[in-house]
Amino acid sequence: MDFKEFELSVLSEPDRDSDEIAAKAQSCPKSRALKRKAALLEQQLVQALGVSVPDSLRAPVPDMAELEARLQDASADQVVQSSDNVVPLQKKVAPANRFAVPAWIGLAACLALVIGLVVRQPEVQTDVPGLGGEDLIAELIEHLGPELSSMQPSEVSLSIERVSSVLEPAGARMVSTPGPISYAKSCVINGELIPHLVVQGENGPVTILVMPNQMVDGPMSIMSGGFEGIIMPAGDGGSVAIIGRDSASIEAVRKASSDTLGISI
Amino acid sequence: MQRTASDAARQRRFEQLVGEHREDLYRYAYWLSRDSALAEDVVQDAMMRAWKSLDSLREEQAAKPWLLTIVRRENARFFERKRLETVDIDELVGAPTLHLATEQNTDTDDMRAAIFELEPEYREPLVLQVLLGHSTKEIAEIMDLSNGAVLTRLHRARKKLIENFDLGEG
Repeated sequence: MDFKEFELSVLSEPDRDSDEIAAKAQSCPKSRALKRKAALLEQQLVQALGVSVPDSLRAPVPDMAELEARLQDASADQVVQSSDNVVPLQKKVAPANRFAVPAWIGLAACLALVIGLVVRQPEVQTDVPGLGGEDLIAELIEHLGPELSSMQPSEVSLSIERVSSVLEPAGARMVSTPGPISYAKSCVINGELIPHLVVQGENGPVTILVMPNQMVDGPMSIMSGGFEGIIMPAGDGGSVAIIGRDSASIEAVRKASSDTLGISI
Repeated sequence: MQRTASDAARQRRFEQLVGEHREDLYRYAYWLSRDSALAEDVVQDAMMRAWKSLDSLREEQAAKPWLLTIVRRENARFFERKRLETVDIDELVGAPTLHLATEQNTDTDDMRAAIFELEPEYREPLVLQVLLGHSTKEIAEIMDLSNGAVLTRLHRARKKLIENFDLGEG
C-alpha cells in the first residue's frame, strides 16, 4: 500500500481498519500523522454536525389524513376573509420582487390581523397584570434562547400555506403581514403547542408567538434577557407576544400593523 | 372527517416507519439546505409526500433510505423553485442559521464554517456517513452514485477540511 492508497482509505472510511492500514501507519511517519489528523477531524466533525431538532419534529406525528385534507383546503382557499377585510392571498410571489416590499405587502395583514383583531386595549402597561405574568415572560424568553437562530435577518419568505398550517391549529388566520415571514413552526411552551413566527420587519426580525389559551389581563411589556416586546390579549382567552431585539424593530411591526388596519397596539 | 379502520392502520404504519426517523431527516435536510427554517419546511413537505406514497414502500427496512431520498428530492425541488424565482442561492444561505446541539466553541464554529464552505456534492456524503452513520454502499444508493464515486467524494471532502482547518497537529 502506497501513501496515496493509504490516504484514500483513511480519508474516505476512517472507521475502517485493516492490518494493511495499521502496518502502513506503523512504518510510515507521514501516514501515521495523517491518521492522527483524520481521527481529530472525525471528533471535530461529529461536534460540528450536531444539530438540535425543532419541537415540532419531536411532537407526536400529526394525523396525516387530516393534515392532508387541511392543506388541500388551504391551497383551495385563494382568498381569506375576515369580518372587515378581504385580502387576496398570493399563491406565488412574483419572481423579481420575491423579497422586495411589494411582494410581501400583498400578503398584508396576516400578523396585523392576528395581532390587530385581538387587541382589546391600546395602552401598554409597564406593570405585569394578572397572575403568572412574570412567569409567562420568563417562559417565553427561555423558549427563545435555543431558537435565537430564527431571529437573524433572513431573506427567506415562507409560503402562505406553510404559515397557515402553523397558525390554523391555534385558531389564527393569515390575512396580512408587516413583512416576509422567515420562520413558522409550532413550539411547545407551557405544555401547549403554539405558533412561533418570525417576521422580517423593516428594522429587523421580530418574533410573534400566538398563544390561544394563555390569558393575560391586559397588554404587558417585555424587557428581559436582551429582548423587548409586548404581550397582548388575543381572541377569546388567548394572547399574542411580539418580541424583538430592540424597540425599533418592535415599533416597525407595531406601525405596520397600525398602518394596515388602522389600529394601534 | 370520517376515519375508517384502514385510515387508522395507515396512520399507525406511517407513525412506526417515519416517527423514529424524523430527527435524522431534519438533520439531513438542515445540512443540505444550511438553514433551519428551510430544513423544517423540507421535512414537513417530505412527510406529506411520504404519506401520499406510503403504499409504494414495500420493505419496512428500507424506510430510512426511502425517506432520505424523499427529503433529498424535496430539498432539490425547493432550490429549483428558488432558482426559478431568480433568487441568488448563495445570498439566501449566505448567513447560516444554526440550531446546535453542542456547546458553542471556536473550534466547532470554525469547523462548521469549513463544512458550510464545502461544495454540496462533498458535504452531503460526509453528513450521511458521519452524522447518519450510513455505509458507503447505502450512501451510493441514496445519492445514486457508484461506490467509487462516494469514496472519492468522501476523501476529497476530508482532504479539503484538513487543508482548510487547523487541527492542531504539526
